[in-house]
Amino acid sequence: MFGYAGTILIVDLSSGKIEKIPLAENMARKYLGSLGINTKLLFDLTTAGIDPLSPENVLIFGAGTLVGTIMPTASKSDVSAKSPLTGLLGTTSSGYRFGSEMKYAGYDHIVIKGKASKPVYLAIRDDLVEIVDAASLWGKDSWETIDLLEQLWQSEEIQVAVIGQSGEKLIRYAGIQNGKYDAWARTGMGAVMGSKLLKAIAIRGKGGIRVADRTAFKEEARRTRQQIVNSPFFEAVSKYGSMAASAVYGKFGALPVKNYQTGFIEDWFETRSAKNIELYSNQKMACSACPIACAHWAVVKEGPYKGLKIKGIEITPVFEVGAKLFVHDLDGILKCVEMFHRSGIDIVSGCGTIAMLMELYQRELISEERIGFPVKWGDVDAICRLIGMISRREGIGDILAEGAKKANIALTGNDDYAMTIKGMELLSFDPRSRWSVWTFGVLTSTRGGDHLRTRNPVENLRFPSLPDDYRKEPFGHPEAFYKNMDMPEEMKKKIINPERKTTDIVLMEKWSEDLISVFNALGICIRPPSLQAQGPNSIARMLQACLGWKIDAEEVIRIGERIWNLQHIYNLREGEKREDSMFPKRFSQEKMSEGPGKGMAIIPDEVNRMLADYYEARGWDRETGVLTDAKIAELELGDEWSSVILP
Amino acid sequence: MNKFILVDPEKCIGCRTCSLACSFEHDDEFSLSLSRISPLWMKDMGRFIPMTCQQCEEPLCMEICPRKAISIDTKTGAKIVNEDLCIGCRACFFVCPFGIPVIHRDKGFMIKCDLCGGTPQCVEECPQKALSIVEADDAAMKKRHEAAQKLMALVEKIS
Repeated sequence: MFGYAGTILIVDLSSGKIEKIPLAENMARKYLGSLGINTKLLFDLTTAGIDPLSPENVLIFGAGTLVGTIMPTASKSDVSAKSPLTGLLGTTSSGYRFGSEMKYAGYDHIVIKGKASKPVYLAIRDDLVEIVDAASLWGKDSWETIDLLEQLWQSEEIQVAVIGQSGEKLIRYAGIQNGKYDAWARTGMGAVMGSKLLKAIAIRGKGGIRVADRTAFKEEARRTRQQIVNSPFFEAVSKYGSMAASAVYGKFGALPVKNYQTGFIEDWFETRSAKNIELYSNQKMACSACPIACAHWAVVKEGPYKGLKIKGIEITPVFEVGAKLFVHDLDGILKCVEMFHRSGIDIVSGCGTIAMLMELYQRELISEERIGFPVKWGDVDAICRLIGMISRREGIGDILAEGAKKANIALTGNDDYAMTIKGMELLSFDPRSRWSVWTFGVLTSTRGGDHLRTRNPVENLRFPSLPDDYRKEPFGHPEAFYKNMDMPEEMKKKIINPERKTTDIVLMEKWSEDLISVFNALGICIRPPSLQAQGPNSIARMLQACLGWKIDAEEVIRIGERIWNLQHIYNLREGEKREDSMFPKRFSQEKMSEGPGKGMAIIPDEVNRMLADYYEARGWDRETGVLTDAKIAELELGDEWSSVILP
Repeated sequence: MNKFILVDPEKCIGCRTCSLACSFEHDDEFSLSLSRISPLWMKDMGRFIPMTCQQCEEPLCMEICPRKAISIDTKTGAKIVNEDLCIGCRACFFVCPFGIPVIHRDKGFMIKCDLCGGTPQCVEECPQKALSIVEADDAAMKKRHEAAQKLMALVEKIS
């Protein structure tokens, strides 16, 4: 098979059986790869209502269709299982080099079933796959484990997926580290790995990937690279990474300050924006085949954390630790990030849970005695101590390990300070001061409170966008930009208004979710400038050259829509209800207190009307969000739907 | 002509596009194990260093080869391997100061950078222009030029 490695590796840890099955071409054609095939495998290999931490759950790694090749940004892999945090679909994506190494070793997907009788790790050297005793690794943090495995394998080239102590202790939002500094962070996949007593997967692959049309593929890769390098976003993103947007969200007043009590920090620009990166780093770091290199190597040069070296200074940890937990300086933020990585905790859910506790403490709804020490906003030592206690389920850490919502209820009897959607801790932007495709998409995301499965490819951060008009966000790009957008003309006309001033949020939501489903199946990056450089037409060309398929733009976007809908069917099968898609009540009950969004609050009726329109645009029932028969037939999801019994 | 690939570690981002372009050019597949150039992460320095054949003026690999399988490409000066003569004995690997020669995983002969006949694909595809193919004497002058600029800047700063 061109493009693909061609094999799915299935490891049953209960029986020790290791199986290799060919990747079926018809499944690839329907679901492409990574997120798409992961979801299909998870749907088929599990039944509704299983305990996510039982041996019945399956943990699936999937590398993108284009991963391993030279196609710019093709580096991403997805991990899927039923989520122990939400009880719904668990899915999380990560770049760096694990996905490409999987494919060089010969596997597009790795499926882990059952549960080992003692701690083990999976050793993959091309064809040779072994389940190995991990007694000497169990209990170690993720960095120590990687160091030990590199020594054992006498190689720094091995790629390692590993859990820290928090995965072992079944922290419901434990992530899986992808090497030391990257992670499949969200939806608690590390806890699923821990429940199987699987400490790590170490891979070394010496094979390669072939493509159908050598010349066309090379040309397409060059064209894409040029498109990315010539993009107006390239310079800023290449220089500052995701931090390029830090200052602008600070300006919008849309930061998640102190658990979303406000959106504005006076000295944000001076202390926690892109310009601060230069004090830490002059080295950019890329994932496999990415020309942008949005990550930075950071070295703390003075102060209590002097000597700390880490790949980091990303916008997410800076928002989460710097705004949500109110840590003032990058030194302290980097220290917390190190702790999260080592113990293997999702930074967003970890900060969401700790922020909930800090707010209870601030409001004297919990005593210092119950916690054991003061937990004031911005106190790095207290945060690090809490991370340690959570990862060991020690003291109050045992309660916090259940996630913000369950922990809030356990501590005060209500969930007033748990900023979650569908049970998952919400990330970053405050919708009261930034209302957009991005913030509305947090509600419709198939994995709960998260923004990374949707993203308006024509988002324009030069303009503010407040929830005073719920239906639109500013477009405002030049005519040439509009013309060059890789989107069918009729769709452009529907989504962008004739004066090119605004984008329709509901319709763009559907478009971008479907598009990004394709990105996540191919393993290409959803960040600018990759996001704007690709569309169904360019992707169809890539796939023609890579796989040798006759495929057009229409089929590409239909595959994306199918992948999105199968995720939705999975969630319906697990009992997701429409009322789960609602913001935490703070956003409607408390007006934004300062900044450009001052006085704004979210009106639930407006959001509900939008949800109904979004469901209709998706071909779902306006009230229940259940797929119509016509949509099921159109997407050829009849077999899958027939196995669903709505609770 | 005596050309080699000049590396600018300050520009390298570790994306391995060079490695993939290399194996694709020589073996029609994307494979790090078949690549003749590898960016290495030097954690202590905080830099990537792409390592490839230096095209030595007195190549030890050529000297030690028991089969006389290594010769000089007259067009570029690259030291190239005759695939039919090479027996994969690794004598070249033992003497190479940079650990460059590796044995092709399927074909059994030694592989190393051959400058792609004058248009190295790693240089062509590098998105950050961290690699260039240079003529040895010109490279020396270029480096002196850069050093001179730094020196002048320093002089100006002091005076």
